[in-house]
Amino acid sequence: MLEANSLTKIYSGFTALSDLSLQVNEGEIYCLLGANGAGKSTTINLFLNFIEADSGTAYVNGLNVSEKPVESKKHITYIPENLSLYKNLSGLENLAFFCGLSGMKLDDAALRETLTAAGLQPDAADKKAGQYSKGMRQKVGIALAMARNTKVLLLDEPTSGLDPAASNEFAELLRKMRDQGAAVLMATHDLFRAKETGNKIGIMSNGKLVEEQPTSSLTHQQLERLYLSHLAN
Amino acid sequence: MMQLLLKNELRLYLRDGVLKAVFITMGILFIVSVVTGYHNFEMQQSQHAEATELSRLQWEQQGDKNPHSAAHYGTYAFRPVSVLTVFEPGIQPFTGVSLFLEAHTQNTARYSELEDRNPLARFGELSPTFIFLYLFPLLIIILGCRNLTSERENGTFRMMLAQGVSAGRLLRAKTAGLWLVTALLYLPFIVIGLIALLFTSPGSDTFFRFAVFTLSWFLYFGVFIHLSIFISARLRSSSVAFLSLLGFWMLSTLLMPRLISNISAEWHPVPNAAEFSIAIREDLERGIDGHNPYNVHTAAIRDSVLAAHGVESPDELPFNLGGYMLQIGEEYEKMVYDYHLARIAGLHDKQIGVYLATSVFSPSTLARQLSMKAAGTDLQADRDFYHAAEAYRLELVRELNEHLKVHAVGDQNFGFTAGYDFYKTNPTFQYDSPPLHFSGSGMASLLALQLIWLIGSFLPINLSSVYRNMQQGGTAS
Repeated sequence: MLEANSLTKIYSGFTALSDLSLQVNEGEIYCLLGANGAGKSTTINLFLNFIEADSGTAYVNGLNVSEKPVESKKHITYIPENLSLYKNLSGLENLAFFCGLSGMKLDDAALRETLTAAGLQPDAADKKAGQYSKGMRQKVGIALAMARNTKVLLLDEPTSGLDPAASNEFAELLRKMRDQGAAVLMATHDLFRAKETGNKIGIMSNGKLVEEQPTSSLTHQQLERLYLSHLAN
Repeated sequence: MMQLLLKNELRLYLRDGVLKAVFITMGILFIVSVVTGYHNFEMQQSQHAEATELSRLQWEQQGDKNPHSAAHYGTYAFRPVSVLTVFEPGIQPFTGVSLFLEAHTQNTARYSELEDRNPLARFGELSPTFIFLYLFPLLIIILGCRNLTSERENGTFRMMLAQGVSAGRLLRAKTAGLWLVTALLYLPFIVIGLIALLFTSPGSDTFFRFAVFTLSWFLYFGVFIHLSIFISARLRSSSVAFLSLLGFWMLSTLLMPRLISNISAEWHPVPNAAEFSIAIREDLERGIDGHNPYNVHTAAIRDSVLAAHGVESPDELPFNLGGYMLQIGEEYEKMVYDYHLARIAGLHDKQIGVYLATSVFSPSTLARQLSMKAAGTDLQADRDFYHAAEAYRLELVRELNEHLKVHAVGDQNFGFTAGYDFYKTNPTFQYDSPPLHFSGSGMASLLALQLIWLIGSFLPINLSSVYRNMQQGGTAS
């Protein structure tokens, strides 16, 4: 579903990403770990074609993202660290608008149902998004993924700043989507969540993917030690 | 898709508290400007009717006097006040609406509005044109810049891109959205304007002029719409984008018109009133003076007339030589005035030429010219009135001189008088402002230039580099 082949990105002499190759399959949650500036967000931005790679290729559902930037996005739901919604629109209106942009036309009842399924309180759907907490906004993002029924999720530190309960709820929703066949690439600092939710972890350091392991092969302590050892390097 | 994007744009604008506040403020300003303009128009119209009647009454009832003394006594030509001056006063406050008509002299306008006003009035007047020229573009800049850059900065633009919408389509939607909102903001202004027009039962030409007037300003707004979108899309920082647009606004609306005005006056200087008057006096002194029998040219004409009729004294002529000579003198004086005024008009034309040529730097100078032309308050319209008044003056003086020539036969030149019965038969001044097509090619070329600005400002939005800049969402890290 998601494939990076030797992706390299250089900003004014600074190598943000170097020869990155990875693959995220259907029904898999791949957690990218690493310190700030390690290249996690750059990887996600390359899959979204928000930036262009200096070399290498990124594929989404078999589509080369730089050749088919618009088509490839039809398969993706993107949830950034702070999901951006129109503050003057309600959660329902935001969802309807973003769904509409991707060609989905759902009636009010279906949209409400999706928001509720994503964990948003029913009475919150009509409130202005400006009044939403971060967790509520992230749930609208999940609702968007559910409504659009995309098979690829790109998540850029989606649980950062969420309280543990909201974070847990979010992880639960992710697992549900994974079980339905979604391929999820999630950049995160949260080792615990990565171990609990992910199927695979990749550790990045200075723009390189320095470690890749299935989560089942690691305990929490082993993951932490591995992460810290790469951080020290 | 486009419909959805536009609907969202409109919804966002309508829920924007800042827009509401600005719109209400602008609305109040516009209503105040129309109401005060209309009040001023009504006052001028009533004064015009009163003065026209009084002036005619004074002419007819000036008492028994020599027709040439009556020509010196003079009368006034009043320019009809158009309701369109409510929206676009143009140069009228400077040129005035009346001309004093007398023998031998072509006077320029008298009693301009500004003469009667507080000196502070010269700094600017709250007219709809003032709002359209200065405030509306500023509003568009604020809305356009705020809308696009805030979407980039708060991440919703990225969210839209992430749904698989191309940056090009989003920019086109943003452009169309701003056009739509500008049209919605402009619509009440048009409606209020039409209501004000309907109060005066205007003719079809006034409606046509008003339509061109509103269209010309809408085209002008379009330039700012396009530039706001382009600059906001091109520059990543909202503050830099806003300052750049503000800089352009200041350059276009404040700096360039004054700069161009000074440059054109420097390149094509117009003689001041004293120089103008001295040049005319010198030319008049060199030519025929109908009043002075000792003037060398007058004497020569007198001798040739006497010879042609085979008489030795003017008293023996079958007509009054004084009346004849005064008319010859009048025609010579007209020639002198026409020559000097044409020279001034030529210099004014050259200045306007510079003004228009430099409109590539400022759509505002162009918009103002177009607006004045549409409203019939530009220099060309003023000249048309002036020529009509001059033609009337010449005909009136000719009639007076002819009366003297025909009826004061023999030595009755200064003793001859005419009274009410004659003066009431003299023509009255009738003037209707010419219809819009009178401006002809001038209007067409101004509209064409404004369209060039509009299209020229739209093209950069479609540059691939702008799309690329937007495609990246503005926050690549």
